[in-house]
Amino acid sequence: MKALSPMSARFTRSHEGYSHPPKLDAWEQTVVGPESARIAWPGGSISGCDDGWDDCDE
Amino acid sequence: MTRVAIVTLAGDLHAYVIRKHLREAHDIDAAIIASDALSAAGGLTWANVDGPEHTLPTEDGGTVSVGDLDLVWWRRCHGRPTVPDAVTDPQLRKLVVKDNRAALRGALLAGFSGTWISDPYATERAQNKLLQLSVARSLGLTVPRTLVSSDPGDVRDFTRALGGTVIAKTLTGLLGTSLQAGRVTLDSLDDDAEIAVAATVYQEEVPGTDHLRVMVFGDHVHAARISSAELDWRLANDMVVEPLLLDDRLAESLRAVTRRLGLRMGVFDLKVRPDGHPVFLEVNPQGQFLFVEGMSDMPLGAAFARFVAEELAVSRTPAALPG
Repeated sequence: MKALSPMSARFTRSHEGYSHPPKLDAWEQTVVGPESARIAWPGGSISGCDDGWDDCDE
Repeated sequence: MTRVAIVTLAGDLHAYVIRKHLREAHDIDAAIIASDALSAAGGLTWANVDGPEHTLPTEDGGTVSVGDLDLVWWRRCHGRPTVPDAVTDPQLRKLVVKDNRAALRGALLAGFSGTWISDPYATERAQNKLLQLSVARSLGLTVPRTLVSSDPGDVRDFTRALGGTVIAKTLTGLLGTSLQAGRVTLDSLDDDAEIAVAATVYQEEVPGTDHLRVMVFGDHVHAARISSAELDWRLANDMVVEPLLLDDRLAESLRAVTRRLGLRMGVFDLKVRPDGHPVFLEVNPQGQFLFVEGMSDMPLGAAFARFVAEELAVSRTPAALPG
């Protein structure tokens, strides 16, 4: 059977290699402080979970 | 007494920052309810008999009384919930997740009569990109020419009509996976089976390097310009974020979209054409906004906390109370 790659797969970009800009990291440390280690941006990137959160893992 | 609940994912930065602002600037205590950590947390109770108090578990191990709440920030209610390893059957693990979500939602729908930011069903409805584009256009905003289709012929005709190159993007997303918008050329659209697998958004490209991120919190509008050469700035390494004063007409149009979708807040993405005209791309009913503060020094956390405090004050006025 032919293996299809849905259109969505063409546009998938991994978070690997991405890091927050240093300015944002500094802001996190200032605003959140020591708790920052256990705090996250949902989805792994600064706005990577804006949409689709209702569809996840259903 | 805790009168504000933030329903979100465990460890959500936005929840922690806003709770801190609420406490320090407004003397308001907010409970964080981790919607992806309900299993094994205990503390979730609803009943229609005398005795049990209606409660929800808080992220810090306590509970909050649903009857005490005047405002719920409905931020995130899905994600990848944790389920104890003792539940081994994959189907049962899914059931555990679904039942906990249903109980959380039901306890609030049945027992909470205060202010939602925003209503859960309005939020789900408003996420649909076809609806967003239609509403935005009907309210006078410029939107890109768009085709949502899984029909190979329609997709190729649309792409040809737009000069042979379109932007393609997905209708939804996947947690933990960035699905970036990308350029597609007509000669790459030769596999009918692949096009037919899933309906996809095909759109004319809006040229330019200036993107707008606009936060609508009730009647308050805060705008930032994100400059990036990338088509999709979300994982760009070159972005510069600056505060921007939006013209009144555009601000009012975005408020109108927010209201029409039944939302109390919305985080908009627009792009500015080289002639300066803004084009609506999408609205995120619960979009992220604190990265804009981190990158631009705009005090958005304080602004959102002020908005919550205002909403809370309105929900406490006698006119807003039932009976």
